Amino acid sequence: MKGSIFVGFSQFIEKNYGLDVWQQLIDECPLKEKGIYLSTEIYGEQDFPVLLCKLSNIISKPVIEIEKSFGIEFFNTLISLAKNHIEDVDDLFKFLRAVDSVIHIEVKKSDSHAYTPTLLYDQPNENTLIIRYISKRKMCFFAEGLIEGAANYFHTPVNIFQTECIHCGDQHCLIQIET
Amino acid sequence: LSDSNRDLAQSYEKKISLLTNALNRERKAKLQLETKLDEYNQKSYQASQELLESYESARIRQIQLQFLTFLSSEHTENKNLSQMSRYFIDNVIQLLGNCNALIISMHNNTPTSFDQIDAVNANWKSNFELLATNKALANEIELLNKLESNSWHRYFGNKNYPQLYNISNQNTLLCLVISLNHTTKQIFVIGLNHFCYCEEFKQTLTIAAEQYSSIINKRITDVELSHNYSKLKKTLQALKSTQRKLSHNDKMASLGQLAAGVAHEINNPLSFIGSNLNTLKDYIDLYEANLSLETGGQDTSLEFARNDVYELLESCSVGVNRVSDIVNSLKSFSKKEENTFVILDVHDVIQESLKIVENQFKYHHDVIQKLFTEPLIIKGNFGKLQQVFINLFINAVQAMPDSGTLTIVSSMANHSAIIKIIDTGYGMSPKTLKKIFEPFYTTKNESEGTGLGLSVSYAIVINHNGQINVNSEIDSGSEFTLTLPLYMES
Repeated sequence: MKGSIFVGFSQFIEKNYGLDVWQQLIDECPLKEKGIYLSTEIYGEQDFPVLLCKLSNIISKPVIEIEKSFGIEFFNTLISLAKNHIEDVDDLFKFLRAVDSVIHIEVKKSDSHAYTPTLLYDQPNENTLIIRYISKRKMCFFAEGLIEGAANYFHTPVNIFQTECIHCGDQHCLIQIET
Repeated sequence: LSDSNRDLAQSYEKKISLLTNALNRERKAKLQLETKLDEYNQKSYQASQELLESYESARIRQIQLQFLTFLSSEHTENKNLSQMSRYFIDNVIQLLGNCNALIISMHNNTPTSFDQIDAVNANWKSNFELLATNKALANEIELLNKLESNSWHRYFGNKNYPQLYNISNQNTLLCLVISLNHTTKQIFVIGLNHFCYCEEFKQTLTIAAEQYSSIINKRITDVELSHNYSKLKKTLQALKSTQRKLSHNDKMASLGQLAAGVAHEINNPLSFIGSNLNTLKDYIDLYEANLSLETGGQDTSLEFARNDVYELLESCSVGVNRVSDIVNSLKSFSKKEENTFVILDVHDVIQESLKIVENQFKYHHDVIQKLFTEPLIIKGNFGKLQQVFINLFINAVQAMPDSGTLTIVSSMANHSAIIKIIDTGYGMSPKTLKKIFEPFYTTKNESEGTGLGLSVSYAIVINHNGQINVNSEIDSGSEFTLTLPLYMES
């Protein structure tokens, strides 16, 4: 998992719940990396769910909600990374379609063999985009948050829902976005 | 707070401020380091980007090729159209996964059959069995039938085809129409829960549809070509056969004219030679009567001449009769018969002919008759046809001097009586076969045949609007086939 996610998560916690909560998480979670993350590095994905669950316990919020909120905020980091790649993109669906290649570049430039989620698209009509999300990390709610962040960025009101979800036993997540 | 505590608090605040500043500095330093690393990574990635993209592109192309190879003509050439469509859709379904499909065969804009493929259960079959009463579904099929051929059409939700949407129980329909000819089409309807695939994958499906369409069209063209080739081949064979017959008929007609001329020229002198020989014989009888009185039978040389003159006259008469027979045969070959035709059974002619030649067969030969159970009624000249059969039977026995089997087979086909005369004799070479119907052509000794038997038989059969053909193989035997038109009551 890209280090920028961990770094972004620590900033998200520090901003919303305080530095002490982040410190508590580092102290209390059995983290492989001991809470030391560099944005440019690639880390194993085992630390992230541990941090999420612990945070959920400390602040008494469901994991899904935290993931979504983090996704919405992390979009700002993502857009700052992606700006060079998507200068001509001016609407939400075009941006979302470009995200997959942007994420790939950001991850692959640190480690060309690193695992990346797969995002596949279908736009059956101009108001609907369906994204098939395939990832062993099962972070579909984080993806939902990112999409919501993108919608905010492009000032486009959206309705986001999943018709199939890997957490419900499906083979993949189908995230449907309707404008 | 006391002064000491205030000092302590200020000292802590100062420390915290210093630590915060230090933390911020460290964070900035870390960020700068990360930015530098990122730039380095970016450069490094850009250097290998082309290679990585080429690898990814090659990987996708390999998958595409693998799939398209499955659909290539090599894998479909031994399948009929129905099997080909099933094979195609099975492969597409396997590629898409988690979907169901239906193949609708259309003829003259009407569904003629349905083939259901249930990767994911859908009630295609039971619903389509009720098609006659489901007007809405029939209308949807009519709409499908009008879609552009050879390319996929994707429908999401229940807006366009609500009936098909409900039956498939999936939220996306993929439809493909393949035109087989002006009146026949195949419609493929695939129900799937999403169509989220990369562009290369979707492109592969498009290519697969085009490839399948090409293979189907090629197959149809091949079948048509093969059919046309077969027809052309038959026409060519018929043309060659007609050409041969025409050439043969022309030759025979020329020979007939020649024979007629020769017969006419020989016939007149032959008549007066025959007549004169008779008169000469009478005169010699007269001389004989007077000479006997004069000489009293004493002169021996005269006696010899008197005896020999009768033998010479007899020999001349035999020769003249033989020449006369030849001339008559030539007339038969060259002239159109004027004898009356009657309605007769070919089997009767065969039996009568066999009776005449049975002496020749009865000791050393077997005669097998495989005659058609019904009479073979034709309109013809009994005597002339008998002449043909006798000639063929005698030829057969002469071709089997020691022993053998004569087989006579009759049948009916295409409004004709077919009679086969088969022997197990010497057989004939292809060179001989070409000439056997020509007058005076014979392989027999001069004393055995004139070479007119088969040419006369040929003329008789032609005069009956029939045909005579022969197949033969050296040392195996010969087979003559007579085809005579059956008598049809108008």
